[in-house]
Amino acid sequence: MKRKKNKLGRGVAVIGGAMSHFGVFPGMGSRDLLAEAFTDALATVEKGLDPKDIDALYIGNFCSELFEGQSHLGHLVADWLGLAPRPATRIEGACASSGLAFREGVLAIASGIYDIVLVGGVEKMTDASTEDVQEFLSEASDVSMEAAQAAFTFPGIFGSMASAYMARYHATRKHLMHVSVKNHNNGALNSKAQFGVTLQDVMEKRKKKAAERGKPVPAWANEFDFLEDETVNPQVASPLHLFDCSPVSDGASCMILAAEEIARDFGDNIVRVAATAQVSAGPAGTWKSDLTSLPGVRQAASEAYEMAGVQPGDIDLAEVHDCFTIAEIIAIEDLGFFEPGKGAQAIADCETSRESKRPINISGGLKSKGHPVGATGVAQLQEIWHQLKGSAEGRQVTHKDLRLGMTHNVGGTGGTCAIHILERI
Amino acid sequence: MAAESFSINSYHNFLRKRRIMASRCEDSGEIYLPPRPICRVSHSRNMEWMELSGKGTIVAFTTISIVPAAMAKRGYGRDRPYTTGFVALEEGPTVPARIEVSEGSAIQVGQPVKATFLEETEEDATTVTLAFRPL
Repeated sequence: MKRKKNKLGRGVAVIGGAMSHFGVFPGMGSRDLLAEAFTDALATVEKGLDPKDIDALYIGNFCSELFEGQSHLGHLVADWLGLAPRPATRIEGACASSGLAFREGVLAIASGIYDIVLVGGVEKMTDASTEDVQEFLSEASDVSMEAAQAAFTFPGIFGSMASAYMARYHATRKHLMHVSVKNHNNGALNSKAQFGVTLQDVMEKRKKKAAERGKPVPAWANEFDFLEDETVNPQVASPLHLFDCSPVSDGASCMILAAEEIARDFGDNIVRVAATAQVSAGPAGTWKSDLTSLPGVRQAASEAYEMAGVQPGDIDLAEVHDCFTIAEIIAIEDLGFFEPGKGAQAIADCETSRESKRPINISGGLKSKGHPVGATGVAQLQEIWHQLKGSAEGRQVTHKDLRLGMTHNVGGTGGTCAIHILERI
Repeated sequence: MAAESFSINSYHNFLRKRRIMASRCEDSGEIYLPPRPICRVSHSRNMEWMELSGKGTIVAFTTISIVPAAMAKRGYGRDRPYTTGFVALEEGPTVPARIEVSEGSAIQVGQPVKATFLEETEEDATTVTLAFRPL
């Protein structure tokens, strides 16, 4: 078979991007959340953009029909943002929905048919009961086998991956905890994060509350002590506990893409799309692996590195899909940043912290920032874009020069993998 | 047996008869559970039926405390968690399935297991589900 070129037909640049606040917003639906993200994204276009010049929209959303009882989201969003009659397409790839929407926008511009495209994502999750949220999310698994036969929940599938990883590499629960501690430390600097507080802050707040109520004040010595406490961090699906899991969130994200040849009309800081890659991996049972790695991510990453002409060591920072703490450990190995089995200790040794040579999840990740599933992919990409052009406010990386940033966005348990590399030029 | 298609529906029909039936590609030798009509490796449609022994080893497992609605109805919950995981069958396929662990005993990755068939009745309908038990 003839090898595919793995190259864009023409260059694509990012000219704007923002996320809405992530959190619990009663009374705000998908359209309201997208209106916030779109308004903020337009405001980031350095030299301004007339919305009339947007040619098309690609919006990632996992299941608004379940969460909001509303399918057929695309044209409603176009209308609400004042962009009708421009063509709007809703893209679904579970938690990778907007990673795919971004990619579709890139491909559409690269094809030559459009010059300026709005990509984004949204999920309105918090109106549903916890039980319903769990049920809806499990529809992103292979329902007949994983959800029905095995009675797996999503934390359950990632919990079992953690069991395999811990058995093979002798990792412990404390390694998982390090991911949570780090991402909360990062998220505390993100004004739009759902849980933008350090675990130290969480502990202090709870101690204060106990004292106010005249109850015994917990004697946690540090974050790990707190996370060991089953009363505040109960088991969800072994070995994963509450603080290993990303939250249920409302939120939206938007970015504006333009053909690279016209990007300077909108700003002087040019960040281009150096690579886009997508892989369909099938359900975990078909991977012929020991579940300590996501083969789809490995393949997509290798295609992305090839397209960008770079190596894992060239990447300056990355946003990875830490829907569960174990997922971040596996991600940084699958992306080639660390050898298999070395990721867990690397995080514990602060090799991925905000001051390190390759910070991971500087935004706080899904864990702290929040995970409105359909919005996550573009939320990761807009973080990288802001970091590369130096506009990431209080969480801006300043100790090193940033040129290449990567995003790792995974749908389901790795069935859909979207990997992107952005480059400041 | 020839009347059954290579499908997820057939997989469940065979489970009701306490049989674990896979499809095997005559060209590549790949074995698929549930049985499927098109080989991922050879792209061939030359499939034959193959009965699996139900013996395997645990690849990964978890004990679930925050349970889905369907399991809550069966009496599982925080006070009564259940264990599930992925089992690599000796013939090759890996299958997600519940693991029946007797109280007080622990299981681990790599442990040998044997198939068991869980019969569960809900609203007059009886389903048979594939599960595993430590050997």
